[in-house]
Amino acid sequence: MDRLISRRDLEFLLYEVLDVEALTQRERYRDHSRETFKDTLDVAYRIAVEHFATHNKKNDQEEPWFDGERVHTNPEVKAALEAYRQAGLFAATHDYALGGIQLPYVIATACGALFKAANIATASFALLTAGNANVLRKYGSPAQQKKYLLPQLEGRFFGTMCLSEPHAGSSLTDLLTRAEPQADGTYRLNGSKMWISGGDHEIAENIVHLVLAKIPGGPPGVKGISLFIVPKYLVHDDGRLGPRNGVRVAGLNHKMGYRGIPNCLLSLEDAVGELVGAPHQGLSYMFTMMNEARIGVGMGAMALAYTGYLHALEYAQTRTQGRRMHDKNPASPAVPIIQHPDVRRMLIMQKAYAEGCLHLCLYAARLVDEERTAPTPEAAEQARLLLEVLTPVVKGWSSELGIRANELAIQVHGGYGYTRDYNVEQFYRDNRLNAIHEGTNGIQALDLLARKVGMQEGLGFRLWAQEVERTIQASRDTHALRPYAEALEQALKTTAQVTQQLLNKAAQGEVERAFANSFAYLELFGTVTLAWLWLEQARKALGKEGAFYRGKLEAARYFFLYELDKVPLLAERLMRLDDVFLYPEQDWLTTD
Amino acid sequence: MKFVAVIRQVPDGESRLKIEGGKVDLGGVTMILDQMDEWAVEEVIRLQEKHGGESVVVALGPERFEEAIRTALAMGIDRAIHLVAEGYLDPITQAEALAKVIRAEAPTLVFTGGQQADWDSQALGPALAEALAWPVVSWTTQIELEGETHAKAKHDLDEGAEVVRVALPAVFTSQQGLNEPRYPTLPGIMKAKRKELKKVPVSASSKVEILEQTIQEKSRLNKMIDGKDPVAAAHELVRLLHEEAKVI
Repeated sequence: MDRLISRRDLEFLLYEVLDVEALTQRERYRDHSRETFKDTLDVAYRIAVEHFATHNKKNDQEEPWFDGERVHTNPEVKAALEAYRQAGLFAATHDYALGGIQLPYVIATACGALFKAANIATASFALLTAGNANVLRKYGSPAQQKKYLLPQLEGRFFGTMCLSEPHAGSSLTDLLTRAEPQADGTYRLNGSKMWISGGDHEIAENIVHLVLAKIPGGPPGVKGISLFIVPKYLVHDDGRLGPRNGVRVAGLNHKMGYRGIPNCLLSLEDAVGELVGAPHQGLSYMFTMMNEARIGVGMGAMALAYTGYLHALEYAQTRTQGRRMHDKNPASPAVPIIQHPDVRRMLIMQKAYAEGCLHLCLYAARLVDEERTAPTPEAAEQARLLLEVLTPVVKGWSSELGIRANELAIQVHGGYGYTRDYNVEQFYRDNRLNAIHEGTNGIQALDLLARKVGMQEGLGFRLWAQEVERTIQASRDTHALRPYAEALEQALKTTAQVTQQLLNKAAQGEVERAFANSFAYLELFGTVTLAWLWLEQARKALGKEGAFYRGKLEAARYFFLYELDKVPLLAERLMRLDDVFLYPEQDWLTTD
Repeated sequence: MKFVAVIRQVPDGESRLKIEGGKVDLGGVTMILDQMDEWAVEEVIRLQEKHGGESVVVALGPERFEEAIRTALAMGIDRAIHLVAEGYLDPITQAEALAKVIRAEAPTLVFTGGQQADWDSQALGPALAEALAWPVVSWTTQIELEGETHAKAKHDLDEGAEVVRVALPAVFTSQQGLNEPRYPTLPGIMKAKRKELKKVPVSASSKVEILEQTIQEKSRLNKMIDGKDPVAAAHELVRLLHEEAKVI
């Protein structure tokens, strides 16, 4: 068994819960049908199983290496991405005119999840390229699109995003890379860029770096940041490759996980760059990529949780050990460990986290399609706002639950799970990154509380609450779901009160006290969001025959009994507005 | 020239099958284009790419076979004929029904899988040749056309191979090594929607009736190799994998 992500579950969420088929009524997707979605997922699944999963372990054991001139990767990485390229996956969501098939984003996201579950490092090359291409499609000039976008959609060039610097990761206001304007309209960039995934390799013909830098004389802080295209090899106007640009690998970072994709410190030495869009707008452009990247990170965390769960499930079904508690006969055969309650506890937790987060990620991806194709501008704007609110939850909460799920997958395997003979320890190490990159989870929590729930006078929060309320109302009259609906209603009310209190406090000037506990707020908001989605899944599963639907109902029961009950505690903690994390000027966090 | 691939849809080998009421229950099972038929489809597309003409896929089976037909169309086959028949039909009955349609198509050659994964049978190709009264080359690993009248083909024997010349039209069955099938492409999937897919209802009675199906239960052998002498242990492991498990 390949144990990536259950195709049955994907179909349940896409068609029975999210009604993705309805998208085929939209003009942009009118050529599509459930059949084209299925066939696309089939292709993705096969390539993921046959080309990506097959070298996941090798990628982990044999890291890319730098010979002082170029970075080398395992040949299987190139072969996998070539299969991905030939299938036309790089351009999938783009217009027909650009070589795409106008695939809905939600289906492309589901495909991406399969690749991430199979091999998150190799998948990252493709997903970074997709993000880069989206920025150029939106903000690149026609000439830039011809030179740098089309080759990425053809899978000939790969893309990166270069934000961080050695001294400035989360705080982009402190960037030092400079871009000096030249007489020919280009810029010369100098500086260092840190944590650049896919920063150098020989897999693609060229690498298109999207680099944040400051043009001298611009406004201070983030308002002075501009976005530049800096290719590894210069590209002539007719598309031919020119000489090597001034982008050098200063070194590779040796990581805990995600080892198959090189992570570089890049040195920009009079590198030729082309300005994207207007000067000083770089951060907002880059956030086009970042928001997608954040959904992608959440999806990756979920995918690793999901594959870890399926590995643990299969192990628990086949590993025999001990006897049922009531069986006192030592001569009776040992039972599969899935029969032990504590193992079942760990499995159902993983199921609740992985399948709940898959729903969350697909829901967010569906909002991207709504934003792009909703029948009215108002509906599109609502989708955009709701997505703004959910993006830090998708990224932050999926990556928190994902790592917990992978911990449990190791635990189910016992000692074997701690060895490198089994796959689950790699999933755990790979997944540990997802709480860190594309904005740490601390930043996601702050983004959610300090920006998103209060934006447009709380409209984003109200939209989210309306969606939760809609599920509550739809469930209230069903006997089996009423207790869940009531519990969720109470949790929603509590969340609204907490949100109001914290935002009021901030508005009164006590910003630090209001937001000091923002991580607890992310946990509160994330838990209520997943409870909402689990109720939605239960609603769609109720009354249907078979173990699959029964499993959905049991996972929902677990979530409401064992996860949603954390809400009062979190709320109390937040309402208390204590100062445990405040007063950094006091030096009691020292060992002297 | 016209090249025909005859295909079937079978359960994915990775799927867990279960028995309900003495019959295999396909509910929830992933169904795929039979891998050996996929080699046949790939070879037909390659022949068309090399020699021009038309490629056609023909399938006989229930409505769900359409998924496998779409896969073949997305790989690059030009058009499809689906002989729709629910329920089990034995290979001889199927071959007779397929032969009527294929004869009317008058192809240069027909390719199909060397073995049908779900039946564990190698009958369909030879039975089809018999029904058409055409020659058959089974377990084909190489094929080369000699004009429109003959083909040279290499086919596997039990412990060797033969190179043969055969008059066309003929039926060929596939063997591993024939080719490496391409994946359907996303643009190919979209194009497949617009390709001709002709449905022909078939009413035929199977000459063989399935009374009961069972699934072989495989239990673990739990064979432990003494590892005190690593060299001897490695030799023993290789011997077991070769002689007992027959995987190397």
